[in-house]
Amino acid sequence: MKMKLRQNPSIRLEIEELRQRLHEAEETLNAIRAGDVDALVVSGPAGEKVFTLEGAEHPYRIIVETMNEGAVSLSAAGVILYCNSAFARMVARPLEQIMGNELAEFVPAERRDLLRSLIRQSREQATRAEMMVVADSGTSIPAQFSLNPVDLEEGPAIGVVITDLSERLRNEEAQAAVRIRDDFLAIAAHELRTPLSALTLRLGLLERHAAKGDSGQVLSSARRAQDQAERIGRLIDRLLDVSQLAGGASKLQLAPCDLGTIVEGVAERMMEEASHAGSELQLSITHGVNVVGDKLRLEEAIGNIVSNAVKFGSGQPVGIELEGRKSTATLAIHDCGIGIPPEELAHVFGRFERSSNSRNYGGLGLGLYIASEIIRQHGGTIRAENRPTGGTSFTIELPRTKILPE
Amino acid sequence: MIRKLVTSTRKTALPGDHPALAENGAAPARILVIEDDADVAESLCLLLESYGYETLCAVDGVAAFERLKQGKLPDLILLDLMLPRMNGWEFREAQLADTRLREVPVLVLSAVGELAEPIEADQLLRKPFSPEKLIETIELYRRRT
Repeated sequence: MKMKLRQNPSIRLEIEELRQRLHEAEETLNAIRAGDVDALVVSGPAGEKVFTLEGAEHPYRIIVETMNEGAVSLSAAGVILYCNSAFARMVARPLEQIMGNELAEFVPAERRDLLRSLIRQSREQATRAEMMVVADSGTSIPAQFSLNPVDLEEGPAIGVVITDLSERLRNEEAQAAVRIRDDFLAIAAHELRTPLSALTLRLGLLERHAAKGDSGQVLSSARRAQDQAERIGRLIDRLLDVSQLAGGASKLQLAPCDLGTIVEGVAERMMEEASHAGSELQLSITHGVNVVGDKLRLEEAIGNIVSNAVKFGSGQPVGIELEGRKSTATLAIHDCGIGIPPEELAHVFGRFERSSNSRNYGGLGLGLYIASEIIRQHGGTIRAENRPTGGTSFTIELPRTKILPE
Repeated sequence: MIRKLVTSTRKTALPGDHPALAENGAAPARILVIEDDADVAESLCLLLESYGYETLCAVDGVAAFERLKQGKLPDLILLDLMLPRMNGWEFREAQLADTRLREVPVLVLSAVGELAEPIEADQLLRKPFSPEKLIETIELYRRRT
């Protein structure tokens, strides 16, 4: 049924008023959308009520400001639009001097392109990466960057959360140190039990010879028992050596010495051990290569490397080559043995480190550590490489000195 | 499977001077010692010989297999675990897979506090052990052929 509206003036007025109210409501909604309204006052039967329009954003702002992680929003081009105070603390710069800069400025120069490409990638999908955050002071902290695409009214942006990993890494390092120490204690106990067991057996034998009144055999058994006691003593010395080296308490007795003579002495001393293992020591020595050093300590360091080569050399020849370059003495010791897994090469000189290839071999895992500490104290370097033909090559470089004839 | 040292299983009389010699004058018991530490291997063999055993030595599992291929089988094997080339666990696995060799009893001698992996063996003696304990355990487990 159609109503004849025009013919009814009171209805026309009512329509006009409703139109007016609709217009006001639309204006209010637009103002709210534009963020121009902080609160609404609504009249009701119980009086006027105020509704604030902070909405959900306010608590989020508080959370972002109080969280420990750095929070940064970026333009699609990677420019910082906003950051929280945690990020400002990480980079040690006031907030207002951060916004407007590129985020890439706060990572090491060589990682900037990587971060830029991650930012481009994160416009499409969330990405993650670990890199250092560099503060103005030059100090840097390890951090995890987690980048997420965000749609803002101004256009697409990127939200970045930056987590400081220093504490986590410190914990991991501490745990690793405890693990290494535990492993070392187990290895040390194993190594001490071995000569102790030879000693016990020798004493048992001695007892049997004594009971028979065989004085010749008693004497020989007593001597061999003494050897084992000395072997235990040497093991203990080695352990003490390590704590001294680590504490920096050992003093070098420096004097000019001929490295060739030292190497020959070591080789002579090692001859028996090498022939027992079926390895031949092949020497190539240049004489007159002089260094200023502690002769006994250098002998110990070189002896440890040669002993290591013999031990893991699978009965193949061990090469020892000494060369004098202009300002350095280079000593290379190589074996044709089991080699070191590539991922472990960097750690072979660590204290208590033993390559996974060496698990079935005895030893404290201290020889290479002691050697590298001694070489380091002499201002030299030592490195380990696997040879393409199999086996490992150790290279020691020491600063060379010219000694004038007296 | 043995994980820890078993201190004692049953009491035996203390070994006499020559427990390895059979009463009827048969050949003495043969013991294969698989041990890479030269000092331990030498003192072990001398001690065993002083009790009348015949000893054979091998520095690792590979050498032990070479010895086992030739001649009469030993009556017992003393096996160290941490050995180059073929360790004690690998040796034992290979030995058990061989129908001829599997019958030879094995005493494991180990300086490890707690075994990383259990090993199937007749008995485990933890280093250092007394000579008496060693002879007593050998006499408990050796084959009498």
